[in-house]
Amino acid sequence: MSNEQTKSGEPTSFREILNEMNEAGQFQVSVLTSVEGLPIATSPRDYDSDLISAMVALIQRVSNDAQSQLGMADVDEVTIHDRDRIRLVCRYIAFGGERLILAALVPPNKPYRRVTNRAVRQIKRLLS
Amino acid sequence: METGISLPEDLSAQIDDILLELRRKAEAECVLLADISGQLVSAQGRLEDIDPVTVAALAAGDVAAMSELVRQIGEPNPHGSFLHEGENKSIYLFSVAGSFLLIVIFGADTPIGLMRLFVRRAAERLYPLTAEFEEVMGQPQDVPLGDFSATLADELDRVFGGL
Repeated sequence: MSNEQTKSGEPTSFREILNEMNEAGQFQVSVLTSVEGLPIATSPRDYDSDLISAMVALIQRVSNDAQSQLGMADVDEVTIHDRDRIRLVCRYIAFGGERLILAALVPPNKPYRRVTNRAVRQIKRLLS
Repeated sequence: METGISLPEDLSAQIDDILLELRRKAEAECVLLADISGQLVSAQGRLEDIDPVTVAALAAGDVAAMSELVRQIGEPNPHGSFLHEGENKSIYLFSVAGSFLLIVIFGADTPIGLMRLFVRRAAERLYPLTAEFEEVMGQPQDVPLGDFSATLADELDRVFGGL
């Protein structure tokens, strides 16, 4: 997809959004998938997204179960920490009839909420 | 791109616009639109490596066969989408309201989710045009095997005639 940006500097592709988010948050990798786990965009581009997409789909199923069993409202975020304090953060995006998941591998002690919020807003803008 | 169907300029422009946007956003190599009998309506993108007329006719045959197959297994809605994933190139077929057939050819580096997302969105924009299209073309049969068979036979003769 084009690397061009609009005059306002807003990214014009999902991959650009992920690239910017990774840079801002110093994330190792990020993917945007459908709720079924089909990859929509990855950053870095050549990252093998199949594994993380499958994991995201699994998390989606678990969160669906938790939601229905516990009667929770729509899930906003699911996070998994490993022992090295690396986090897999999954943000849920529902917009215009589409349901997507933004997932990122966040290094230890790095904030992620603000940069992922910004990416979510930009993704919704591209979907509109 | 010359097609076998003559449409009003306004309808044709709307269709071309939808296909161009789909091609750009889904990072596809090319996007074709055929009617359900396999007649090419529009083609956008890199067309040097393919014969769009043949691709449209074969795709319609594939969809007709697959629709019958899913009927056989008891699926109530035979119109859906079909994906062939190749090593270098893949093809995605999407039936739009049983009137149009959207054919997207894309490379191995295009994420399937991205392509499906924007095909669905393009299909949503094409739905309202199906009524106008059918008015121009006449109501289609569910699967007009007569037209389709003739088109497919012509194309197969043309492609394989020398063999």
